Amino acid sequence: MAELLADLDRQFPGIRHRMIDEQGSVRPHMRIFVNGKQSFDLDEAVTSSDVVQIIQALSGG
Amino acid sequence: MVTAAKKVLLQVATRKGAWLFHGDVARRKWRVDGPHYLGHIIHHLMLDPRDGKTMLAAASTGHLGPTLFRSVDRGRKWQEVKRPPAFAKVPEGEQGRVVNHTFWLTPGNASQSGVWYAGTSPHGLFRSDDSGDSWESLPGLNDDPQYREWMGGPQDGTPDGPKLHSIIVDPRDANHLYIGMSSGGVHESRDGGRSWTPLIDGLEVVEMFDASKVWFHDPHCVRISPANPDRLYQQNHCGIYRLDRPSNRWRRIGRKMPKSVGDVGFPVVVHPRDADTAWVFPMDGSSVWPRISVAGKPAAYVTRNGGKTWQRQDTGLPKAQAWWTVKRQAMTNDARDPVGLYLGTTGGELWMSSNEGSRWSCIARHLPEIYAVEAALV
Repeated sequence: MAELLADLDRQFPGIRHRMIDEQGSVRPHMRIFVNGKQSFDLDEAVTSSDVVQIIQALSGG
Repeated sequence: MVTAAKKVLLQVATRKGAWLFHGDVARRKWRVDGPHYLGHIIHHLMLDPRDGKTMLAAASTGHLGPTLFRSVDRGRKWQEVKRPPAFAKVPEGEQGRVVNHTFWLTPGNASQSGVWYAGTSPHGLFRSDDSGDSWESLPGLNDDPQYREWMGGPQDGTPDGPKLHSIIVDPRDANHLYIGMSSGGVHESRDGGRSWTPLIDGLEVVEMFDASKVWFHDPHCVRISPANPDRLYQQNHCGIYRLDRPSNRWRRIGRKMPKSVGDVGFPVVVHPRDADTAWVFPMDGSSVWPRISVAGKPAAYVTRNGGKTWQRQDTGLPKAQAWWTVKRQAMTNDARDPVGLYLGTTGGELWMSSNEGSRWSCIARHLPEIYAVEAALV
């Protein structure tokens, strides 16, 4: 997962920091799903056939 | 030096985006330019006075992490910076801190092209040497064990989170800095931020708390006099104060305010050429701290003698039922003669006075809640 996010950041510089904080945790209101299952572990292994979805909550007011 | 002919550019940071207001020379007509970054929370927006072109916007967007945006053409085009302020990653097993948002931006000394300082929530101080594109944590404050103890933890601070604010760079000495921390006091550095000393002598704290403890001190806004950098004014949770260096003791000048109004508020503004003149915007600090104008009747107050006496300035402002206030960064001035004053309200209105507060007029309505207003001569 960490490599996936690093690759995303290579394509869109700065995007990783908007989703993952400086201590390596998924930010509040952000969620990562691997094949439909919620994941907070950046060390989780993902394969080329896995579907990864990154969702943000539209909260605030 | 009085600059009479330049136009004023207002930089307005709001809960839902950034707006620029371009004034004509008479300061009567204002062209609105915005929104920029609609929907993003813009905490502070600041034009670099050293080049008149670089502008930084401290932003966060409800669900996304914090960032800064930068323009190098005075707000026409914007780009996200490469590396916004962020605390250092700590070793596995330790509790590291995370920047929730950048709250305050201050350009460095006139002699330091490209240097900026940023204050964050939770408390953190950062410095950029490349005009805001990347930022370094200042460990002399952020990692000092005593200051970490004073800063507290996630359960401390204001309802919106603790703030490091009022970053002041002495115009005479680039290494001489002041900062304010909500629930953390005022502090001074004479070595560019490598080491810090509390500057809380003479400040009061909420009844029954111990004034010797730094974390009980809640400065709201500290400003330096451009005319006399040895003089500072402070709007504190517990009153209005003045400090005259080399003394280290603040004097509560707010006790001269009318008792029915009190001396609680957020912003303080200092005249660019007269160290004895300053403005405040009182707020209701009674009972549950509703954070609105006293009795729904907004007014600025001015002192022209360093706080010995204060005069009410409300001509043109609503006479009643105006339940808003002005946040600590949302009142400012230009350097024209007479001085122009500008304030943005929590109700989304932008007001100005072109005669040092004698009369106020509304420039814009129906903006989102205004977090900060800055004025630059361009």
